[in-house]
Amino acid sequence: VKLTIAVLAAVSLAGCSVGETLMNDVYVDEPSDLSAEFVENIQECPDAWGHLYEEWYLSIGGFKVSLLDMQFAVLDDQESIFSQVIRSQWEHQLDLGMKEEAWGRWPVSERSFRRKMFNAAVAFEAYVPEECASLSWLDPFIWRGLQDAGKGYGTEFLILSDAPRDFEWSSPYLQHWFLFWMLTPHPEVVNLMRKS
Amino acid sequence: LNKRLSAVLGSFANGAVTAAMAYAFGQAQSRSSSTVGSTAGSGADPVEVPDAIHVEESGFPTAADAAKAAGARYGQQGVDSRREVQLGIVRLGEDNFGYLTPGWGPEGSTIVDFGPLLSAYRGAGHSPHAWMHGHFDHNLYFSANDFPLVWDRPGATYLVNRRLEVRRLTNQHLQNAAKNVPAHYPGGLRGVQMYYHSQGLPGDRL
Repeated sequence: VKLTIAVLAAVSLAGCSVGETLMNDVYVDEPSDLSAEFVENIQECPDAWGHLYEEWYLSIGGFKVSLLDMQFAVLDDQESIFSQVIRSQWEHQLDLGMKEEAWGRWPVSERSFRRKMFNAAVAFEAYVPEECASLSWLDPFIWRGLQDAGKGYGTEFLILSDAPRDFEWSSPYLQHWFLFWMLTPHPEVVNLMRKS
Repeated sequence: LNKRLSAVLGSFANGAVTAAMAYAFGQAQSRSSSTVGSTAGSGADPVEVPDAIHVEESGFPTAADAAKAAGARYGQQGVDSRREVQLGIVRLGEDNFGYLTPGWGPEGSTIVDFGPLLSAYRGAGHSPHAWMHGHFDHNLYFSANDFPLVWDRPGATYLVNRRLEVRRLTNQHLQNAAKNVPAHYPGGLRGVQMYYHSQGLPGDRL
């Protein structure tokens, strides 16, 4: 029995990496579907999120030097759908009692990241095609914004001033940090929202 | 500021210096509400299509072998130039695969519309068997945004990452991954994309 368990465990460990299969030996190659219609369709999600992002970018006046400043801009922005959805996410987090020193830390747990992105995706569903709900579509646009912001300093990309120092930032970590904490109101923002 | 800049530069390793400099300036100017950057865009960035399209190399017994050869040839170039390589793998006969002249995304872009390159391939008389692209950033796996290429579809898509690993993703990988998606997530592709947003999926390393 012990041997069986050991063999099963070994097989499981070898093949259990999520999404990674032992296909090298069994994969049967087939032509991909690269029809013009399909290729056109897969641009639908980048286009939908790109429009939302661009409207937001222009409405808040571009990227700021800190995420807190960007949250202040979202508070002020009464025009874009994007800011409206972000504020709707903040509304549910006003009683969390997060301390200032905890806000903006990285990394966060996979579970926390997934929960935050899931809730936001549900909120954005009304504004993008149904099949485009994943916030992963935002990653390249946030990256584009951070690169554009970096150009102002002659750098490859901007690391916002409230991102932790003890991390080697690059894509895609920076976008994920940005999205997670953009969707989490800073204690100063919480206070402002409570007062209003 | 100089003291702070030195401290921040010292805290970053391996080529993150330019970003660290931006960080330092960000630190210095925080709470100023100043706006940085001046451009905005929408949608995917267009691929740069080469003037002439050829079968660059052929004679590979499988598409995977052709992908490995293309990855070895263009992977580092993509990392160095911070541009996503995009190319088609073609089947030229029984046990004979090759790869076509690549196109390149704009510098720094992580979302590239490869449609114009595919059209150019067709215009040159080539019908790709599979598609391959590169990740110059630290995303070593297939991102959630790559999943639509093979979701509920035949064939495979290939990736070369900044470690020059060549990977293959198929619908089977996605269907296996879908089994781990919690029941409260949407079904189908978007649920898988949402659940694997952070890490993506590794597929097979070739």
